[in-house]
Amino acid sequence: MTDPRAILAFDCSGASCSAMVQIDNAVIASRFVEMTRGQAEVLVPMIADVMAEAGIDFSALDAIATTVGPGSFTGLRIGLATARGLALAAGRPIIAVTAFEAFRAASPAGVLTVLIDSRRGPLFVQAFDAAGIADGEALSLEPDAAAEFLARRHGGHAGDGIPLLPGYHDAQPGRIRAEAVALAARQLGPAARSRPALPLYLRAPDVTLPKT
Amino acid sequence: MVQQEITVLGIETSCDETAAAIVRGARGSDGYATGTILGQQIYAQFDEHRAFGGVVPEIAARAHLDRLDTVIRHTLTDAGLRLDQLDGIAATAGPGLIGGVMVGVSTAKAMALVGKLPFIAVNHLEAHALTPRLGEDVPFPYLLLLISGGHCQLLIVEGVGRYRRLGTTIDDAVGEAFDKTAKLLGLGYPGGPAIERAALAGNPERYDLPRPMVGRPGCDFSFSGLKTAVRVIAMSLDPEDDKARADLAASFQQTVARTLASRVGQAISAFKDRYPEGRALVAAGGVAANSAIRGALTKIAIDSQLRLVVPPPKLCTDNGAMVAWAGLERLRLGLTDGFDFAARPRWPLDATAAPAAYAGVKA
Repeated sequence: MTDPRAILAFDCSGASCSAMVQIDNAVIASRFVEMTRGQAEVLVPMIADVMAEAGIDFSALDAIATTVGPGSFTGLRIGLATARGLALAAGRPIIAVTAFEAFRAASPAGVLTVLIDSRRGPLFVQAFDAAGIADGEALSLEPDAAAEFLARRHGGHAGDGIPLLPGYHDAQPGRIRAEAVALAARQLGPAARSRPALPLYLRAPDVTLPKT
Repeated sequence: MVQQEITVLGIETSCDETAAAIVRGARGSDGYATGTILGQQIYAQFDEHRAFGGVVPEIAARAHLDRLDTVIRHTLTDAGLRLDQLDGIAATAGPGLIGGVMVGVSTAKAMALVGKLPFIAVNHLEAHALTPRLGEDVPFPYLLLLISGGHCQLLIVEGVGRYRRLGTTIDDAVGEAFDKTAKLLGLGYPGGPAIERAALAGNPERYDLPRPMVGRPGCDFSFSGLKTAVRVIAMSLDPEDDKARADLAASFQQTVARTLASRVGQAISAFKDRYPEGRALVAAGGVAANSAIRGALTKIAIDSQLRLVVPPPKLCTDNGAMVAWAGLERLRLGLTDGFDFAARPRWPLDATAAPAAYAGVKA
């Protein structure tokens, strides 16, 4: 696949739901709503809307770009299940973008730390260098440790986990927009297109083995 | 010429089976109208949940997402069909474990959107309730005993979407009682088949277990007292005594069969009072695959001059064909759903029936 010309991108891995169609770097149709739950009712109608507004058929898409997390377990599964259903039915490839990469794509250039609300206490954290390349593995850190991590990096920050840090309670949480998902998909280039569309949970299920 | 048959893809992800099937049936709903399964795939998540002795919702949801698109792709290949040869896409939209349900519903909506096909949100219980009509001509109304890991109910099936509940469990589902008893006896998971195997070598008369609700008016069930009685006996057994464990498994299974038969007897009277023309007793759900229970139901059906219909075991446990068939029955009546349909963790078939205090979604 050469650089994808027509992209459908969407995200519902955090506290919002968004979808957009982009053709030759121009946004043709776009929707965004903030919501903490109910994405399963909103996402597919939203995709139907942007596709109708763009006036193209699924068969004309070069790629379907979606986020794979980390974020809300349910939200990222809704997005991925939808992407896989579309891909299966339309025979078009998926470009899998992490939530970290989507926040990175929407942020100014420079050293960046992305912090994502796990909704269960710790934050999911990943650092990027000035060239926009991931600098180390994604981590799961308690708020104090995440604040220390950020302080050591001397760069910018992004993500919906910022208000959970001590001293940042008044900060506005960032939200992923579908435009950022499409941008990340293009920036990542061919490498991202060969990635399998697998969920990035960064946390094992909460279960304990029975005692016997 | 108007097309005489319709073809529906069904997706099931509400518990621990990732399943899909394609079913074809007559467009009209009059008279004899069974269906044909053109392709089906099922991935049972036994290995994922075995260590926990029961289904873990988050593990189930993850496994559904991992497997579902492959299961659907293989189902289409099995049937030798493309998406544009289908007339509708159905998915279980509740009741059940909501994380898994959302995976199935989201996938179905997306496929329907691309294929410009109707989406049909199927009630998992309705899928069990209508499945007997997939293989045999069973006219409405009929009496239904729905027995599974999540449910234990007696209903009159008056038509598609029309149910009257006569009774329900007031605490545990019958399949839960099987799973918990199997766990207590160290027989493994899933519990239903494990108990049935162990019981083959056991004496069902050895342990005199309580038969909950027997002799009481109405058609409700209760299994928590039976479960407690089994636990007390199981704790007293020598863990090396395989004979005693087999006897307890057999006694438990026979007690459940007799309890169910007794409650079904009450329900038959209520059914015949309301619908003297009713001819069939139908058993559905995973527990209906148990042969001791089938035996007890056969006897009571003969005594009551009703025809007993039990789908083959593969259609009793959760599967894609039952969802495809329920979707087909709804689609030919024009009952389709929007892409904004919200999955329902609780979704009683008879919305007018009173909730049972300790049974939660099982009622």
